[in-house]
Amino acid sequence: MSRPLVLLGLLAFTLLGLAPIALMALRVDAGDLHGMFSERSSELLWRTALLGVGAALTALLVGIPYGFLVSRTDVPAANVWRVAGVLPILLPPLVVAMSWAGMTDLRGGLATTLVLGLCTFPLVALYAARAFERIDGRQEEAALLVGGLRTALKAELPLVMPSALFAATFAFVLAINDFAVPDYVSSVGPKWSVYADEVFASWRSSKDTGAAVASALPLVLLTALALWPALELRRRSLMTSFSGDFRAPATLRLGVWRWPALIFVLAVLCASAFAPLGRLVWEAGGGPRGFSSSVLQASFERAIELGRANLASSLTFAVGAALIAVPIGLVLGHALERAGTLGRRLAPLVLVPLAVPAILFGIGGIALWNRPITGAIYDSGWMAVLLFAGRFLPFVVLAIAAATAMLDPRVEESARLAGAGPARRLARIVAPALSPAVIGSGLVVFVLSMRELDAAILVPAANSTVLFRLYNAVHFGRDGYVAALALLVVFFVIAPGLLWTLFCRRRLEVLP
Amino acid sequence: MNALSLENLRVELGGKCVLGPIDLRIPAGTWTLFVGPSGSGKTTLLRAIAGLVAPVAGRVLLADLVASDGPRISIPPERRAIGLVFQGGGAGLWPHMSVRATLEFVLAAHKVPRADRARRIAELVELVELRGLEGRRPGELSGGEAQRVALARALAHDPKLLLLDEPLGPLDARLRHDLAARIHDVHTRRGLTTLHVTHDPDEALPFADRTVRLEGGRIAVEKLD
Repeated sequence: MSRPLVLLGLLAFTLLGLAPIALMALRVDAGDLHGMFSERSSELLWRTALLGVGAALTALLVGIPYGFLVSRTDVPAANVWRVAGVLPILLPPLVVAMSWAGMTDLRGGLATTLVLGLCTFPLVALYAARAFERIDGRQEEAALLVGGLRTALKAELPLVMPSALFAATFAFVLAINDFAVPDYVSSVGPKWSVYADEVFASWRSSKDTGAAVASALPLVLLTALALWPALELRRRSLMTSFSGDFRAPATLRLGVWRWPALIFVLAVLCASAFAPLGRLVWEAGGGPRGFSSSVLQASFERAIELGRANLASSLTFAVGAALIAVPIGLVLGHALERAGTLGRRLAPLVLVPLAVPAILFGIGGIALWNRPITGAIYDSGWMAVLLFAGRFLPFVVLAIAAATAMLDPRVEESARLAGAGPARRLARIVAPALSPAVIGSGLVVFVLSMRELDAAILVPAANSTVLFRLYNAVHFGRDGYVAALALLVVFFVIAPGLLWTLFCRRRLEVLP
Repeated sequence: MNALSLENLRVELGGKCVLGPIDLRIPAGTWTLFVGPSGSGKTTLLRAIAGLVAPVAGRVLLADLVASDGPRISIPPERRAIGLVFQGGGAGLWPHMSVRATLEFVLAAHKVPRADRARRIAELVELVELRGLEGRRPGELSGGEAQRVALARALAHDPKLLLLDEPLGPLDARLRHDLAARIHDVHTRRGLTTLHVTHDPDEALPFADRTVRLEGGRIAVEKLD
């Protein structure tokens, strides 16, 4: 570890991830805290917690069997479904909500919970799949000999659960902080407010930072309460990693259950990705007025014409955020893992940017950058780039730390003995050895930035993003152009990962 | 002159003393064999000498220069002129680098002029008999080939001290004999000081100038061969 590099990384993390939150907290005074304990606040908090638990449970119930089936069994075309299973987390939840609202009469809390659960289930599925793959083949064979598949699963579930629960806590955090889905669902049905859109409303009506922050404190507490045990779960899930003589488990034969398993996998994918996307294609092609390819083409032409600048902005901001977050995350993630006990103690700090609602993080960004000396940054696209980089940096740090934990320390020690200094070791040995995690976490930042609305909605520069345009468009009526624009967003979000999957043999490591 | 001196060296891992106190002088140009049961502290001793673990007490002197005094490291591992071959078949090799890139990396880190690097790489490849495999990565090499890459890497920067941690363990009998002889040849020609950890003294006994037996983290027997 290079101390100057780590200090530089910490400085950047403090500026991008912690300073917005610290500045926000400083603006709260005693008077602002009164509203925290109102009846409405309690009701919203309860509702938000229920939403989070519901979405996390949905993600768990769908994600664990999905992850198991596509990673360990002979379900037909398992590899294809494994890659396709990532699709729902790449889709902006707003886009999925738009489609489901069009296809069904589901509204209110149930619709919000289902949409957010379906959008976050891939997190659980990915973690569960990885955990199932890390079970030693001999352990599994011993359990199979004792009592068949059921006994083997019973023996393995306790090993998989820390990983799955860790992912579910992330699903919980993403759900309780989501602003766009409840807001959209409320706009097409009965009003169903949650804490995040109440914070937004509070800020929009008064522009009072202190009041907005105070009103969000219970949500911050709820998020922190979820993330704290998540770190312990993460540690346990990393402990179930390969030992020196690890033997990969064999593919499990499902027998007569093979085809029902395929139906389950396809049903999950249909509900979470294929149906919403199909609905958007149908809407872009004319929808209820009759589908035609000429209308579809016209919708895309209009979407490209009206949304071109927004797409370019979103792509620029997302790429910029990834390029900033990855080097900082590489330095800090590597240091976090290699620092041993100290690293474990500092790990909660890394999660702070995620522990505040996205809208609050956006308000913090305004408090930090909207001042005369940094006005040029605030008014430019840099504001969006820095905001996204700060918000999503924890994913990079944790993904790199997880990958570092799997890297044989002797790889670095031998470079050290060979005479390479800390910076050279990081650039020439650690980064290439961790390239699946480096590129994967960069892609995660790109994807999350592309679909980001909640933190960006208040920041003028970020108002040029394509998701902001989409958000405005769905509130002023839906037509083919809006659906086509949503499809374009989806295309650009999934394109980098798709290209990687098609042309590169190495599997990306994206899990924090 | 002593190439290495250990004075009252003590190492703790997880709050438990795993090595020491150790007092030892290793004359330059000698081959010292360290033997002992598993957990006797052999690997930890090499790691402390290399500076990869910080002792809690005692001093490590390299050619009479203090490399570490208690937990304070005064010469970092990268400046100790030490080559280390790790335990295991090519353990610690850089998975993304070919044989050539690995050796090039070490030479570049030691600021060997670019013009000289190709010649040096060819010499090293010749030395460990890896000709024709220069473009291969660790994943494309057998255990024996990987171990020879590890040896070439350890020798690339002309170390004064060569630390071998069970370097022949994963190899078959013929390869063990060949590689041991080859290492001894390099040791003699370059005037290296070699510290060789093994659980099987037979593999290098003919070359050793002295044997040190460790038990429970302490020197149990030290004898000249």
